[in-house]
Amino acid sequence: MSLSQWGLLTIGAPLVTFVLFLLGVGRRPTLTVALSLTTAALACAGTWAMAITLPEAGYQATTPWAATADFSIHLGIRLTGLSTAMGLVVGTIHLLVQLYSLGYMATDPAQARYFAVLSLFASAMLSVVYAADLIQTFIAWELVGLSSYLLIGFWNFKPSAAQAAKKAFIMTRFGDLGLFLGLALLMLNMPVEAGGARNLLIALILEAVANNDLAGNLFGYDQHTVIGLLLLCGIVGKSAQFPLHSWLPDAMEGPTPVSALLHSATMVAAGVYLFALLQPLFLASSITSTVALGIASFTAVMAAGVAMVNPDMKRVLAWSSISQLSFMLMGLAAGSEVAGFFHLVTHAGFKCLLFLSAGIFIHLAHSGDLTEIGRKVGSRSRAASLGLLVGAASLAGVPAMAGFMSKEVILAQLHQPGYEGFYWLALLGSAMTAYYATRMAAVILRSDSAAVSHHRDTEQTKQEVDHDSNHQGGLADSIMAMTVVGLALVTLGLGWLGPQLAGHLGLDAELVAIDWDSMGVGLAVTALLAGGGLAWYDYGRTGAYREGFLSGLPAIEAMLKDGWHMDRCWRWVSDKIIAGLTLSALFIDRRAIDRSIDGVADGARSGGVLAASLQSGRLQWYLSLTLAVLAVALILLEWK
Amino acid sequence: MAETLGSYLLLSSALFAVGLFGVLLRRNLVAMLIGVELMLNAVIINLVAFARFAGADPGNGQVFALFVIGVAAAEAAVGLSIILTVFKARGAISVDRLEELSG
Repeated sequence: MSLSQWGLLTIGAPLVTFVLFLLGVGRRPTLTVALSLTTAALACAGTWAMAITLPEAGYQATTPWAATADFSIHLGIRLTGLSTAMGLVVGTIHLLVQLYSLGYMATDPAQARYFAVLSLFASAMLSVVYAADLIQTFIAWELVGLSSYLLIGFWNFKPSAAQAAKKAFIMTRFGDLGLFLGLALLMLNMPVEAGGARNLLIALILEAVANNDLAGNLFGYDQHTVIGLLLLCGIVGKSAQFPLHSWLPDAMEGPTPVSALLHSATMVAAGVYLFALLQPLFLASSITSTVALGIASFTAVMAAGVAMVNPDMKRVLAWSSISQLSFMLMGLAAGSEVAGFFHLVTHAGFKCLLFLSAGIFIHLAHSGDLTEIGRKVGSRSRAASLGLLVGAASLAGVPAMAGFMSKEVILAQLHQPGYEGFYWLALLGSAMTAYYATRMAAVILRSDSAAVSHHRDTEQTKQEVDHDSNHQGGLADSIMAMTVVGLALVTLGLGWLGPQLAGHLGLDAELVAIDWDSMGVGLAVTALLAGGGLAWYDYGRTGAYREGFLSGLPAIEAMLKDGWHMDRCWRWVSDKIIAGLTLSALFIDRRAIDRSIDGVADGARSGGVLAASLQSGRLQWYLSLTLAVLAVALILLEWK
Repeated sequence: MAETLGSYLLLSSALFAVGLFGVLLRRNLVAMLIGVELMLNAVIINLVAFARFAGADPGNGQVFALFVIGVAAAEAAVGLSIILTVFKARGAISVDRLEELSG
């Protein structure tokens, strides 16, 4: 098969599942699930085929979709080292999650809908990855948003899930507004092509950036800056960066495999991927790249802080994703071509692993609370414990684990003159990451070591129980366990694939080589030991108090538990500012528009009443009136 | 009285006025119909008088008069049958009772 056929198959196959589901196959759950798994396998095979057979110079196939005299939009695939590597991650994780879901969703009555939307999710994300035209990327980007809305709100009978889905959709929409404006500005400023029309083919954009064709002033700033900042809005929304991050922890309302997919390979990864795709455009403006670095480094520390105190396993993982995504953006914004993306790949592996393990834990414990899981399950689930250990070690950045290898490349990139502030923030973030990763593993796996065990009932607990109570073990459980063990093995090896990845991207393997003797590695290990050690002292060692050191600072702890009050801030914005706008609109509506329409209606009515009074119904009154009018008319005519 | 156009017109307008008052003031539908007939006859006198004193051929006015009489007969037939129907439906033929079209 040719590359374009593979591309069509990869993007199209999962979409076929969704379309067939809509056309009525959904009434037969088994068929839908089988179809969904088949197409997931096909798509995965397609991503591998494209990655392996990718020609040196890359590949592009497009077809014009909509064209006017001034603009043209293309659909197609663009294969580069970056897009095929990303596609590989998406396709593989998608297949794994589908397999795992086979066990996790075995007894769910709406199984067919789940698998169909999951397929749509993958198809949309693969379309983002392989898109040749930014408009196509944007369409697929919105489809990714839509399908995550559908999946987060999958258990739509729970008000909290419906709420979380709406929040995710609306908050990312804020960012997408900027993205759309950015795309429009970019389109208007692209050099005109041979046919006289402009387009947003990614290859041409990168070429234009390289040739400095986009240079120019816009609103008193460099064009690169304005366009870059607008595009960055979309990335901040999608990748859940400050200040549009708070939808991601709430997105935990969806089924756990959805979180695994959403946090590792799709949705949030789309933002980072877009940054990687258009990296030259962002780096062309020092303002844009500094803003991106600033947002990312702040978010990295902020989100890690929340993860340090949150009692709920999935929420800890969610805040951890926000923080890790920030690391990726830092690597990319600091100018490294491979660092951020390498971390995206390893993170996809270990975060997916952590979520899949969390799914097993939550299933068994019937609760999402860390202490609760520790008490009821602990290390008794072998597969989940293995997954948790490998995942947490990787997340914390234990040397030689996947997360360490890629994070180290980012830190090395930041360890340069000019980035000192960001470097120290990143190191602080690493230490905090080590703390919460160790805490999570210790609370669950060393529950017997606890001096005091206390029970916190979280929101999550009750929700998951609804789903879990009708769950049966057996085959379903072994499918889940096998997936987790497989992924754990993959994750263990993932960190050593840096040189291959760099080679695939067409870069020098030196870029990901770690200088083991450097001060940077020493500092990173120090951060790990400091964070991890503190968490071990708080939670892990025999006789630990199982209270974070932050409980000594109640004000800070409360703030962290509330997610830095960000939700309250947004609530304030929506209550005061948006509600204020609404009220003034309401005032204008009531006073100006309603009143004028009422006036017209009243005028018509009183006119009608006046006219009706002539209609007495008395025959002779009509006749007299006619006579009077005639007489008056006659007199007037005579006078003339 | 001398035979002039004016005297005929005077007679005609007196007759018209009588008919008009009959139509406007009588409550009985039959009486109103009689008033209408009077007004029609006043018009006929007008037509014949004008034809006699001002027209080139007096025959024209007389033909018109015959036509009007024919039409008036037909109108009386229709009017009376309506009145009869109203009486059957309402048991009365006073216009005071027929005020349903009041706005």
